Amino acid sequence: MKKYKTQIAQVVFVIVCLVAWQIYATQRDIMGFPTLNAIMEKMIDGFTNPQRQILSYLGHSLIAIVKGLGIGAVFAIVFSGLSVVSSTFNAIYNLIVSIFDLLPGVALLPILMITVGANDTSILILVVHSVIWPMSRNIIDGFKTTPRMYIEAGKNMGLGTLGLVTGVYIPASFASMLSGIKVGWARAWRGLISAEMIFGAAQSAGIGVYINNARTVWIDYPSVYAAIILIIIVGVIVEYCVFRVIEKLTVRKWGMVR
Amino acid sequence: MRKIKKLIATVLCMGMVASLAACGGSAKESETAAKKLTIAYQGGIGYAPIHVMEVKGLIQEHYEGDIEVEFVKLDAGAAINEGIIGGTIDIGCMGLGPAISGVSAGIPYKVISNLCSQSHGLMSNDANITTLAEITSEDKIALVNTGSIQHVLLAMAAEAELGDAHALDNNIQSMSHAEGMAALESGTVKLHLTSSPFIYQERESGKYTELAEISQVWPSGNSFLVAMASEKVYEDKELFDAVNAAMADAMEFINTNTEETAQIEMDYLGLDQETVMSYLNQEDCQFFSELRGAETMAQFMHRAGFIQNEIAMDDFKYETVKGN
Repeated sequence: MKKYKTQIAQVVFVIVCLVAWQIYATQRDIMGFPTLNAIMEKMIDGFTNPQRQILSYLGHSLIAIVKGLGIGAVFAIVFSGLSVVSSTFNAIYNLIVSIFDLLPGVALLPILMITVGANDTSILILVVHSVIWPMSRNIIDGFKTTPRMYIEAGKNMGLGTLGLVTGVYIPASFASMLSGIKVGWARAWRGLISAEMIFGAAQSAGIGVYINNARTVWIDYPSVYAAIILIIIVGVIVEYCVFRVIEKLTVRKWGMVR
Repeated sequence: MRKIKKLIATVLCMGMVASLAACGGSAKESETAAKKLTIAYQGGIGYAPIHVMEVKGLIQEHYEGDIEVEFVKLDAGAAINEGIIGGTIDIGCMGLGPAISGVSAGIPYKVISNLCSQSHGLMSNDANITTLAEITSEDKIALVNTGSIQHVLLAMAAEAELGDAHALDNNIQSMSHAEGMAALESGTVKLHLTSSPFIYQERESGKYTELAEISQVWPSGNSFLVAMASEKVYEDKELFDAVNAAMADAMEFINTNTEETAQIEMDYLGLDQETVMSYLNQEDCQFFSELRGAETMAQFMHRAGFIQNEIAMDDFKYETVKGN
């Protein structure tokens, strides 16, 4: 019993919230605050109605984010590796990261619209932008905190620069890298949906566009909530089924975090 | 210690539930304070009657008693819909198309007055495209948004000329009026369906060909923007009458004092007098309170699947509004 205490608390909390929601929605009966059953109905409708196809919207967003995360992660690892190797590169890259990390991707939208146009490439650039800087920050921090001893040991074993980065720095800072990916994913997922909602265009039909359509074209607020719930579900799945599993198989197994 | 913690947690949970439920009850109690009317409009010269009302304080003039009138500028019909649903906006001004969609979806408002008619047009930068039939699947058409009045007009023309209202849907590229104008000029799109004042600028430039089909299905002088009042306003007879009287005054003012109207609009639009005067003097730019073409558009939107539920004119406008 004691073992499941946190889970019970979480479940009870969620149930209380849902009951409160249902009571309020039934009592007030306003369009913008639908009941849970209306939302569920629209959720199912979103999956089954051939004119809605919420899954294809969601798939579009997921593809965009996987691509963006992949490209962003590769760039972040390469650039962070380079900045360990070269102190000049490190100085410049630090500056770049500090500048861009604080710049919300959505603020870049007007510029992207002009230079790249309203298409998938703009969205991809935006996702890469939200991933690369926080990840680089975490990776560089991880590299910096790599114990001197490991590095010296690596050098004594005759590792070259590339060998040091892949054989010592990356494994030693895996925990920071992972938290970097987590931050990057969260930022990218939020940035992606904001961008889709601002574009509101058929060229990039992600889940944000679905919310926009529900709001402006279908004027169907239960569908807005259904899409929001789907976004939450995706977030939870990624957190518990992807990141937790990776953590368990790597840093937890290696005893780097408790 | 543990018991106290549990108690606190329970109380907090109960408090949350109670406060949520309480929100439901408390909304109606605040009516004893000075009455407040919130009017939302969007950007453009078509909202001139609302601007005149604000500047001249016309509603306050016609309403006997204390009233506070607040004007807010929003940039989308959807935001206005949400304000009406939530009760923070009483009168919202929007395009005819979004208004029809809103009523069809059950948003608790109806037309209290038409605002204006404006010019619309589909311009092409390719001399080979002079009719809708000549548009190929490769040719992009820029317009503000799917579901916008421009999209509905394109679909109306497509139905009339090509037999399928949605024949050109895949050609649409959503962008704002200004971006669309830039895209037409740079050639990233072949066509641009826009409204005044952008359409005036595109016509004046002389660089583009106008496709005649849009004005054939939506003749000059048809309704473009409408003011939607929530049922709450309608139920308050005195307030409803005051708004109607103020609207009539505003229309008359605009139609008799073009120069003074231009003075007012210069501030709202941030343009010089000459430009504003040129807009106001355009033949298609008319201000009147009766509906023209709304029924045709509502029927078309239902037929073409833009709206799910058919709407009768009685559900769309209050009985004081003339025309349909």
